[in-house]
Amino acid sequence: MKANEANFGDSISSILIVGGGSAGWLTAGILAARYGKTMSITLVESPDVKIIGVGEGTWPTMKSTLKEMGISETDFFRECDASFKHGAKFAKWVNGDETDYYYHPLMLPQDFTKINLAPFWLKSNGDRSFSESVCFQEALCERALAPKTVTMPEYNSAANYAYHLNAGKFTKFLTDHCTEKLNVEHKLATISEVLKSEDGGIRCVKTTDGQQLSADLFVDCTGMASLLLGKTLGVEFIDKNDSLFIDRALAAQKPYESEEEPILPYTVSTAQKAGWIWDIGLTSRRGIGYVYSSNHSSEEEAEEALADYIGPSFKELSVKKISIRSGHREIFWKQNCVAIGLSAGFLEPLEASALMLIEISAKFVRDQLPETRKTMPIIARRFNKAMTYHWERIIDFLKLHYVLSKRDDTDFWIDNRCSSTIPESLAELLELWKSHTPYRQDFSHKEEVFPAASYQYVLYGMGFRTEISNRSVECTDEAYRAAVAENERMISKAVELLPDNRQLLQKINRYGMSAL
Amino acid sequence: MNSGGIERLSKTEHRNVHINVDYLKQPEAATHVVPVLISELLSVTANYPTFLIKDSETGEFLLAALLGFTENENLFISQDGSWRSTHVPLTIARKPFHLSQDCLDVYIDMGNPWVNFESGQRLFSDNGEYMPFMDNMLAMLERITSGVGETKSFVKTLLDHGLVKPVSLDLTFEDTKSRNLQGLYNIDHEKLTSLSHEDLAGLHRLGILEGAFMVLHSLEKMKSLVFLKDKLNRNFAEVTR
Ligand SMILES: Cc1cc2nc3c(=O)[nH]c(=O)nc-3n(C[C@H](O)[C@H](O)[C@H](O)COP(=O)(O)OP(=O)(O)OC[C@H]3O[C@@H](n4cnc5c(N)ncnc54)[C@H](O)[C@@H]3O)c2cc1C
Repeated sequence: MKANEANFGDSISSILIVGGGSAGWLTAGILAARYGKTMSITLVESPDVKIIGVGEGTWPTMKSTLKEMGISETDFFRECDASFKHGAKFAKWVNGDETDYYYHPLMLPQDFTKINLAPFWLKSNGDRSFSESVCFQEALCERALAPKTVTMPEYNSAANYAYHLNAGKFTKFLTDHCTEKLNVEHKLATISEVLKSEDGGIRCVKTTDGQQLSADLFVDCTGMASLLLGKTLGVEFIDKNDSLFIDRALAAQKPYESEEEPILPYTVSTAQKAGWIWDIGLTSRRGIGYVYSSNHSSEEEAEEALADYIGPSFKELSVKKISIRSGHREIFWKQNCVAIGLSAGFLEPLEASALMLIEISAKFVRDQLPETRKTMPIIARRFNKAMTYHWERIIDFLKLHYVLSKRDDTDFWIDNRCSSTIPESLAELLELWKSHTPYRQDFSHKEEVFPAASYQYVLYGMGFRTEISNRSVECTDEAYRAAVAENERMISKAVELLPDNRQLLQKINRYGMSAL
Repeated sequence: MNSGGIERLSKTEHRNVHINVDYLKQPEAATHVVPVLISELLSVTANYPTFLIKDSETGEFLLAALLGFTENENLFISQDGSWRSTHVPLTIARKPFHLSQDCLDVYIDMGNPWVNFESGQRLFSDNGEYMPFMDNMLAMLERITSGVGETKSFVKTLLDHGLVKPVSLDLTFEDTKSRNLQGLYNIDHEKLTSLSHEDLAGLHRLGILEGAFMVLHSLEKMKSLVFLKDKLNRNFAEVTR
């Protein structure tokens, strides 16, 4: 090999992101915050192909994502109608009764890194729910309190939080930030053709207005079209519809009844006959939608269910209809093309994991950006391995909600528990958890998207029973009682300290938050 | 006696009103921090450690003087109700008056405990003219009104230049109790001195540089405040012994 072979023409110095939805702009921001000054980063999006325009619930990861991009959280709140999210409330998932609900809060159970409280909670047979006994966030949700006070600096809080945001405004906000502050070049053009290179990668993309754009690395953020990775490079789509049945969405936006209506600081997911309805509160409106299985419900029935949920004002709202396909690409990075966002795949939004996966993917690309084309295949392989693992764990976790349900009012729920629809990996975990509570050692990855704590919240929130033998209990009853008492203390402290969510959001809009 | 509310001051209605200045009886003086204005900054920083703090209602930064160490502890009020220092911060000294938004009208809070009809300072002479006490008061009110905007822009300029930083103070008292003070912000001296010549000149022209150094140097007054607290504690110990 010649000495200079590895440097010249081989180094990675330009990135072209194709697509300007949440995936495109998040990727642009994440990459440009690191490389905006040293690499050429361009985003091209079609002025004609609309973004999907849903996807308004996030994970707490979004805080660091925005912060690392140098975004003022106040600007973000103001311009994206953003609100706080403590977690999710699942209603009617177990048996469909009016009183049937549980929370999956964002914070770990009290002292989780030191002790596993689940066995004690199971043994105590108390009348308080698992999440209420071990985490103070449920109390904040029930009272519609914000996770922080107005004097706390941006991105700081008393309780961990994520956001609800207006998807359309969010991409616009990121566009401005990326182009004005982070040196991202923005092109409006529709790709008409993608040309392959001899080695089976992407050579360039051609636009309808006659431009030819090339780069060392292409990021496919073209949404469900998956124009580069799927269509051009022919990477197959692995359908997961046999485990996760949901394939349709009806989305609407409902104004608040009044200036006093609480802005709920959590996502509500209410189970229906053939799926579930999301309810996401922003400062300006609620986003409400029904995702359902077209094998188990007609569009009319689905619309009726949504109308029922929304109430009389439904007549005045416009409803957006979206077809979705559960599943993901066989690989996500091939040659010099990596897919991020809907182009990589999609799973029902029950745990709002899509934006989080976009963040994780873009951060992986940022942290392990190949120096040269030579190392690219190695990094692509690692990326594919890591992402496949994440997709599989997300599928397991989503399916868990259905498997644990006891609803038998419709085939949708009954079919969901059919063993042939349950991934083996999940079936194995469920077998394990009959006699063990999920804890640290159950998962292999350093960065699990759903930690054992999340499994605990869902399992015990939905009434799963783990038979606890005396042997499996690691610590003393005193430690458990101390942790529960500490949680009690946190609840009373937090309830006293924290303001009403709507009130705080109004103050943020009016006075802003300080970075200090 | 004083059940009244806010009233527009008039020489006929309020001819017999007296103001009895007694800081023990002024609820708003029972505080360990008091917002101060740029227009009184020299007197304030010569008397009190001065910081930036966050308004608990809005989260916005304010310029404030420290008067004590715990919630509602004002070490500057003597047992006889007088003020222990030469400068009473304007927002306390102006009690119970304020000006209308347009500065044309004076308002009095008839519910304020200082308002009475027997003792203290009169507002009007027998022939309806302002007494010197009231002339002083009016001058003070005008200083406050003009000072509010100026103070806001002072604080904003400091923030915009990244010159504010949180401070954590560990204080030790004679009775060996130590205390950590939270929620206080000060000028970042290092940043201030490393500003470019243009920036420094700009801040100087706006009068902000001078103010920033006053605030910075007032930290020395922290010692006096600890000294005062120790002394009062000692006196208290002697009395109770
Ligand atoms: C019903 C529903 C609810 C959801 N809820 C959540 C949620 O709560 N939380 C969450 O995290 N996620 C959620 N998601 C997922 C989330 O919406 C998406 O992951 C996210 O919006 C990313 O979309 P995207 O940018 O990949 O695709 P899109 O928004 O579809 O963007 C595609 C981009 O590609 C461009 N493009 C396409 N073709 C071309 C072409 N030929 N030439 C040039 N440009 C082109 C388009 O112009 C557009 O800019 C939800 C999804 C659905 C369907």
